[in-house]
Amino acid sequence: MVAETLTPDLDEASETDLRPDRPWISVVWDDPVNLMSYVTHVFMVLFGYSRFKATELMLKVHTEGRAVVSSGTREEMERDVSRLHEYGLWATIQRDDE
Amino acid sequence: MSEQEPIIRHTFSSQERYILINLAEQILELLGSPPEARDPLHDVVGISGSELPPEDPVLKRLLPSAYKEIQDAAEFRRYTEDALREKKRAHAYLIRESLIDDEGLGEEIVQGDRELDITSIRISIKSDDAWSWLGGLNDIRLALAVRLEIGGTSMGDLPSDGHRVDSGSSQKTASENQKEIHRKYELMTDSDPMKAVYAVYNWLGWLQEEFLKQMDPDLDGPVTEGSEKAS
Repeated sequence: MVAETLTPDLDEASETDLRPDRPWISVVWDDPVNLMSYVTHVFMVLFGYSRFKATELMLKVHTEGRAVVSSGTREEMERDVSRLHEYGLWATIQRDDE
Repeated sequence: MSEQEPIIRHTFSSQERYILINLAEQILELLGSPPEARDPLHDVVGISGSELPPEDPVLKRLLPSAYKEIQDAAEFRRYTEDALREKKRAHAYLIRESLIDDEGLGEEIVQGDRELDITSIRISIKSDDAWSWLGGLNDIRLALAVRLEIGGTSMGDLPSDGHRVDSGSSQKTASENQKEIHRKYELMTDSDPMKAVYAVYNWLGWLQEEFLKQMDPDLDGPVTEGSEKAS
């Protein structure tokens, strides 16, 4: 992703809450085009995540190359990934155990 | 429904307007014809039949595979690619229409042929349309990035091992890559057409950021822990 104006404070960062009983996950992959602020807002709007959580996930994508952004049934993940693709994010579906 | 208040306002110069209309039209062309122009049987059965990722590198990035497994990716694509194409077409179409014919949207006056004599335009975007604009601008940026080879030639290819995608040159941070790309285009002569493409790419990034700031005045504010995490 492209670094822009956003410089969040990382001190408060914590683990993403993912319920263990949900077998499928959607993963967003880093790319050098999408703006950090844009990606954060896509997470906020599509998933209803707080600014804090959305920023945390965006930074995870940025620094680690990927982040799990949602989990649930396969159908739910297919819907999530379709919407992420609609807004140009690079996302895939996989089983949680991979 | 009552009239929505615009949440984004922006004035495009005649040149910016011309460029963006053209880019939106290129995206529309690339994404192909609307469903009514195709075999109606496709719509009856609800599948497009296309299972393989597009060969065009831009399309491959705009319509990426949803699964690493080829079989799963193919099946998902067969049932969903058409819908995704349509959504992306709708975004590009909205941008094009807003810039060409702004009935109820702004105060522009076009004299004569729009392609020959295009004026600046002030656009007002309502909240329902804001994400179509953002998504459409993003698709154009992605398309330009592929042509500019930002991210190397492998954009859209998933890494096999699930680790970082380091486009071509290994072990470089994103910001190092960004600086390198910037230098590459800065060093080009003004007559090089790719330099102009790079300038447009940067402008669209700025525009996207500008729209986000108008939609969300807190964009530059401090990021604090939200209430949802306190359980």
